[in-house]
Amino acid sequence: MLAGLLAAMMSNIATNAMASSALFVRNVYAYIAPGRSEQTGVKVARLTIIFVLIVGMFVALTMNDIVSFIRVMLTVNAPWGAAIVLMFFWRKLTRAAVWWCIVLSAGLFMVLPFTIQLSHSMSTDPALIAFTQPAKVAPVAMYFDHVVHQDPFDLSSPLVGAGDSTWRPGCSAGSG
Amino acid sequence: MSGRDLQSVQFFFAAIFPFIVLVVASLLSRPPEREMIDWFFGKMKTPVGATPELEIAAMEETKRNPRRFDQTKLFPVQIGMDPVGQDRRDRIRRLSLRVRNHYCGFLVPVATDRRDVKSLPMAHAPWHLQFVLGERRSVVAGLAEVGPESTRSTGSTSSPQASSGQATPAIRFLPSPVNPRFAVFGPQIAASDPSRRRGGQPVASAGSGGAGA
Repeated sequence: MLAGLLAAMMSNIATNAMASSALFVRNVYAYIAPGRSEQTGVKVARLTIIFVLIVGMFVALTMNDIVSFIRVMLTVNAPWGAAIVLMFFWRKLTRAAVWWCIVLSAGLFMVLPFTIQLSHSMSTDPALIAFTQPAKVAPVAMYFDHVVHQDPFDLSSPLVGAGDSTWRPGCSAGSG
Repeated sequence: MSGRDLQSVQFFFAAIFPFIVLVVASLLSRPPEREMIDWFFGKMKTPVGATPELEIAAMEETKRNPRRFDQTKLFPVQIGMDPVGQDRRDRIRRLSLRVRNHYCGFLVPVATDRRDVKSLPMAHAPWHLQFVLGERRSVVAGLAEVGPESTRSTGSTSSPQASSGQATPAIRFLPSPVNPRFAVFGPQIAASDPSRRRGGQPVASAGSGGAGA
């Protein structure tokens, strides 16, 4: 299943890289440097693709595991997909609504999970670092993406809540 | 709650949350300019022409009347259903009629097991409902005067109904007033089946006369 998902995502990544470069050239570069030739625009687009892919590689390196990466990718793409779907099927969709959707979704699914782990009191609150009931699958953290030991080499260290990214202050990689 | 359930709920929330925000914020914010929206959808729905000249002509027509494809909406508004100028009771009556005829009408023959009227409400149902319920093709053609049941019974002489001499009553499919898109697809289907068309007018299939007797 993972292999199929990754294979399907390869085309998505190729499309996203192309789309992001085109969006950058049309909406950012055209305003920064108006009147440039199309050849220059193509060169900038190619550089943008390289930049986007490098940023993607760094983001991937900070992920805990492939499941976290897939979850983040699906979650991040959802608001864009919703806006595009409604744009073609609902005439009452407004520009302000799209902005609200992007901002709220980014805040709820990306900024909030990242910032909440920075709060020591919240990331160590016993109620927030609770696990689900053990069933056929291993229990997972209920409110954080992961609950890990503060020191991964010391299993007696206290548990703290953590996000999908391994980059967090005062805590190394590991998942609960 | 197990971990599997929790992740399912998380994915569901992540998928439904953007739609909720978009709908609520759109209803609370100022609607976009009507002309801009009409032009966007008109341009999007203008078909690609076989030649550049045909495309230019189609786009000119779209510029003159950007709403000329409104009948292809997923939920098209019928002529006479515009609530402007109607009182509240009239609007409620028309809305209830629309719900009954378009979205619940197909349940009536199913519930009463009246095979002779099985397809009649569907002839006026929205095209997506017809498609879902498998009656799309016969109605899309807009040419059949007998429904699928009658067509099958009369087209095949080996069917039990035909062999027993019990013909299904004729069912006349009217070109749906809800979705004139059928007029777009109809000639294409008719061209592939010329026996169903005579002089540009709908004709009954081979056994419809006997079926109606």
